[in-house]
Amino acid sequence: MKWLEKLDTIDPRWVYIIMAVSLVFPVLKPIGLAITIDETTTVPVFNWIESLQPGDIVVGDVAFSGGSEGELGPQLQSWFRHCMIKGVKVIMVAQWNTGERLGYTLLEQVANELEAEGISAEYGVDWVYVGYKPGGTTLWRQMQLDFWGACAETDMLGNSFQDLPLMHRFKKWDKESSKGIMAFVAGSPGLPTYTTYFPDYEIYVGNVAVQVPGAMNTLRAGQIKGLLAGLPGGAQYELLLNRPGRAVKLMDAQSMGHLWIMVLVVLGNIGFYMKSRARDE
Amino acid sequence: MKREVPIVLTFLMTLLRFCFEMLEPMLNYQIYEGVTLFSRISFSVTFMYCMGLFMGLINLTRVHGNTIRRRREHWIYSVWLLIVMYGYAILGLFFGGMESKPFTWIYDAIIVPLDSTMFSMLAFFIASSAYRAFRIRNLESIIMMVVAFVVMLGNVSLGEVIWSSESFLGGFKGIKDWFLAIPNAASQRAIGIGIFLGSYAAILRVALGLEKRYLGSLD
Amino acid sequence: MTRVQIWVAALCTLACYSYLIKENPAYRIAEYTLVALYTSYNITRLFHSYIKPYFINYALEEKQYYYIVMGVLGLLLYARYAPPQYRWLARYPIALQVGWGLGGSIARSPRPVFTQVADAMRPLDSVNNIVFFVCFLAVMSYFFFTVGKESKFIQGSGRIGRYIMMIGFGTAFGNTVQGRISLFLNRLSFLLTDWMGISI
Repeated sequence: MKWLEKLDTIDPRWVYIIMAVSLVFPVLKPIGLAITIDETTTVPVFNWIESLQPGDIVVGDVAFSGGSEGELGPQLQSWFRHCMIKGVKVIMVAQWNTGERLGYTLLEQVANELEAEGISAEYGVDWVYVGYKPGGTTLWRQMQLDFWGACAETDMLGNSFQDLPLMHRFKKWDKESSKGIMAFVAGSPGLPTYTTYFPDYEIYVGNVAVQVPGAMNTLRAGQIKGLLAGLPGGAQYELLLNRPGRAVKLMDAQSMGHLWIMVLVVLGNIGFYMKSRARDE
Repeated sequence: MKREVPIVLTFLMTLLRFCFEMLEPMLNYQIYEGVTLFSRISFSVTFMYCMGLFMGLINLTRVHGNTIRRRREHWIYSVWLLIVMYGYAILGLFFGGMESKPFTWIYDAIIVPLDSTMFSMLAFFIASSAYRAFRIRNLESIIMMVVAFVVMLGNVSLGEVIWSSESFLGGFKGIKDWFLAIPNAASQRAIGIGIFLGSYAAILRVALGLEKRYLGSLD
Repeated sequence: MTRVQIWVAALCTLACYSYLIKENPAYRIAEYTLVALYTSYNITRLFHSYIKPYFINYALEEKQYYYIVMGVLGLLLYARYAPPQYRWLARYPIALQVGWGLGGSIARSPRPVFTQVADAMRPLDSVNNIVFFVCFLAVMSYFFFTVGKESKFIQGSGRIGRYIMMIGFGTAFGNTVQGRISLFLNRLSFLLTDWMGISI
């Protein structure tokens, strides 16, 4: 049983290789495992957009950077696609300056696809990307009172708000002008900005998986109404929208990756246990 | 002048902002049509600290300049860093701004992929750390491991195959949802309240001038 | 992205992953490049989205000259790099900014916490509410480090609180694993589909 003791000392590079292989194969050859839709977290977000009328304005927030694009990118794109299909107008802000341009690129991609399908997603009319404005939570507070002034009346691309028809309906960020907030958050600043300064608003969150345990607390307290949890949240939203995309394709690989992590924990503990038993003897 | 006046300024600004937040008439007070006093103070304070935009550049230049001057280990990479940093800053500031083709080209081709990839390496590190560090030695670690396994299986389709959510207790997914919604939420809430109490006390200390470290030791 | 961009992005990605085999120059260059580019990106962003429009719109066009005064105050931040006898000047803009932010926090930050405290006091009319309340109190009692620590009851409930926190940490670990794997899958799908042209 000496070989069991060696289970404790596998070279980390073998761990990495098997990890990579266990993730690559299911991506290339999907197994086709079913994805369950979460009724308490994902469905409320979907139902919110479904309940809105064409012309209603919602505000989205890109509070992530390239590091979290894998989880929040599919969520952002699915949600935006849903809004455009429903005719809901979207104004995007960004609490993170490092993700601002990334968010725009992701949305522009979806907007171009929708325009090609004949669904209106015209910039300035159906959506506006205000982007990042420095000032932190103070500025977010100020946006409630005077959105144009807080944003220096320009969007991320340098367009004046005067030239964007949608912005003429959004002079201040209050509950009359916007029918809810969808924040895609990966850290700080993020959700606390909204629970602190927008407590009476309908807040929905797209979160990285790491932050889901903390977000469940706010969901239970009613501070947020719905939650997209990581890549599975994005995959579920794609299925609800009947447009399976990148997130759905990657879910099988998730299963294999998790399996390998559990195997590693078991192997490591077997080796540790056998070694301590040998040491005690 | 050097220490007392900034502390008094901090207190006065805190009090001013607090009054703005708590007194509706003050918040809505307009200095002229459509322009509130709160907004003007807010914008100008933001404008003030935005003037410090070159601090990061200066700090990196000092640190890496030192490395180059003293020919420390990896100094050649510091040269590369300074060239890239100044080059990209000059490109963005003077040659077309944020929307210029070269600027966005570099952002899309280098910044986003590098950022994503740096974070994605954590997938391998978590595998390695799960293997080397996750040791079951006592009741607490057993609880943590069991819950972690249930949550992992509840998060993925494989768990649904092993124990369906339509069956007893909702399968792995049902148990995971319960763990997240009840004991996890309770513990997060209690920890969050503890953190809030500590941080609020710290905020009050700074506002009242009992804590001066934020001013730095510039004497 | 153009084909050239895709190749550059792929090479940057592989340069980072080469660290998993061994630390090497390609990884170092990638690491230093990212730091440099992000710093410059932030500077450009701040300048074009705030300083330039605010200065032009407010200070020059609307003749609100106090922006120039605040701008000069902001420049005092650079006194940190001045000779030691002038460095104290940097404290003034810091004091103004810190004070302004603190006032907002003092006024606003208790609200979400009190919402959560109020929610914790739900009627105990279901098993879940009772379990939640007991777990909440047990974890709170774990953090009694001074008052009541001698009491056997507090010690016992603190121990239960610790076990409940372990459940919280277990859920955190499970979700962290999922999150990290998702990040790698995103890069993998880029390498396979965009770079190598394999459709998935």
